[in-house]
Amino acid sequence: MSDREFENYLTLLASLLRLSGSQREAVASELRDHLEERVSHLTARGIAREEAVGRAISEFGDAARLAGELSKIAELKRRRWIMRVTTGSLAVTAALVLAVFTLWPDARHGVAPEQAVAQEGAAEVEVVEEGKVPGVVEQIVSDQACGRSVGLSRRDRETQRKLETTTNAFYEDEPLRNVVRALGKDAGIQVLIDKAALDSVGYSGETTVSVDLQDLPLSNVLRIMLRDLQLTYIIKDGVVVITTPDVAEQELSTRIYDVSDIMGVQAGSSEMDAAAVAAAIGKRTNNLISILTSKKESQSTEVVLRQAVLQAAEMQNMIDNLKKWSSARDSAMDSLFDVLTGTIEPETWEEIGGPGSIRWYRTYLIIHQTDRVHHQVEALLEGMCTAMGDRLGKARPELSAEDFGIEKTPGTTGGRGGGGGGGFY
Amino acid sequence: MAVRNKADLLRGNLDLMVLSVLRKERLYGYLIQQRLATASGGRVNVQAGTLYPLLHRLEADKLIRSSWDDSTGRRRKWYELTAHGQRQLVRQAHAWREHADCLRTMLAPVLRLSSQ
Repeated sequence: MSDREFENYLTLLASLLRLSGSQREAVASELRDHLEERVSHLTARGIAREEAVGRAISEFGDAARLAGELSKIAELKRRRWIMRVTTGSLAVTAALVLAVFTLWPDARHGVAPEQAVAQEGAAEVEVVEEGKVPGVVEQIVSDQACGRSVGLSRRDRETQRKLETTTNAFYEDEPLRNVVRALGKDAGIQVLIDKAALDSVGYSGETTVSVDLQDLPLSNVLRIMLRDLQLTYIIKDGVVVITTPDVAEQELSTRIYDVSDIMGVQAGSSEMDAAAVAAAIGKRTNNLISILTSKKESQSTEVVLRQAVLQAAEMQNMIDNLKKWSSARDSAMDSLFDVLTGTIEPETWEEIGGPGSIRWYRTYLIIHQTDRVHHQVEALLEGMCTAMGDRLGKARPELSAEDFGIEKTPGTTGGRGGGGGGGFY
Repeated sequence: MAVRNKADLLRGNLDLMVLSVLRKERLYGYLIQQRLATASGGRVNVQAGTLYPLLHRLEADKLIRSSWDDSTGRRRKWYELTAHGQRQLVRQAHAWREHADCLRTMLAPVLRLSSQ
């Protein structure tokens, strides 16, 4: 009876402990010991067993409070332990690497040739890259000029392409409706008039326009002609819509721009992502651990240490490269952001309360803006490409996925990961 | 009221008291509770619900360490001071004497007055 009461209390308490099974068991048996000792002490003083049990339990107080306190302490202990172990193993690794480098005079010579091999490997890939090997990213951007948007829907892109057709336009006091119909027909696109919007500013399809323009892209012809009426156009679902700037302003669309060339980063390295780099570094860590823990009888300590040093040096290399690459990319992106948002309709970007936004992913810019701004962004990016010219190819930082030991996607390159680490791949 | 204040005063120094009863011997929880009572002349009665969290906390702080053994015929969790605990005990005992001396000096006139 009374033992049942013990067990009930202890079971309740144990169930409230946020601990592992064995820790829970340990706490319960420590407390059980106390309860039993207390009860035998009290009964020895002539107190009835039942009452003794009740008193012993009540001295422990509320099970929930006690369990909460004990769990909190265990958690604190666990956290300290993890911290110590982490600090400890880092210290051991650092000490090991340091010891090897100091005590082993050829260590540096041993590593150097491997690095040379790694660089040679990367250089080979570089050459292949210039020959435009088809890869995943290459395919996306293959038909795109530098800085062109790649994220438009196919129909919108088609329409945009047709808007670049060279056009001659000579109209005098022609109704707008006739002019846009004729221009659209020539270019093979549909041009509509947003009647409601035009009505709100006192125009209609009958409003007359005069233009005399030659050898200009249709987009420019439209823009110049509409500017006189303080109108504009947008591309929506592959159709050119003549409307007012107010309406156009509200029509935001998202486009993706490939800016890898402008940023001086190879398209190929945009395939690199944090997960892949982390995996590559993780692989070296595993190699290092397995080298250090599975030394075979036949291997001399020197050989094992030599292999460990190679792995450690590769890891260091990868981490350095990652830092270089990501900081180069971040600062290039930052200045590109400043150029775009500072020169193209600065008041339309969200950082000063406008509707437009700009984000980046790898080496792509994702811009949510009006077509007018998109058009200017594209023009500016193309201008930058032209200005930077062919130097781009040579001025790129010589970093690629290979620098992180990441194998390219099949078909991209036959190149092997940077640096052969003694058959640990 | 007076008793309540006394309990508060004692509770603030329980850590030090527990360390002091473990100074010379290894004890398990129940015995620690007993020793606290006897060593304080019956003044310190720590409830089990207070004692065990306190012991676990001192262990987490590495002032004491525990081990299980059944030398008494029962499997029990025994606590003992660590070297760190030993040093802390000495250091805090000295700090306490300073504190007590200071209070005694300052409160001496009050005590003289009230006893007259």
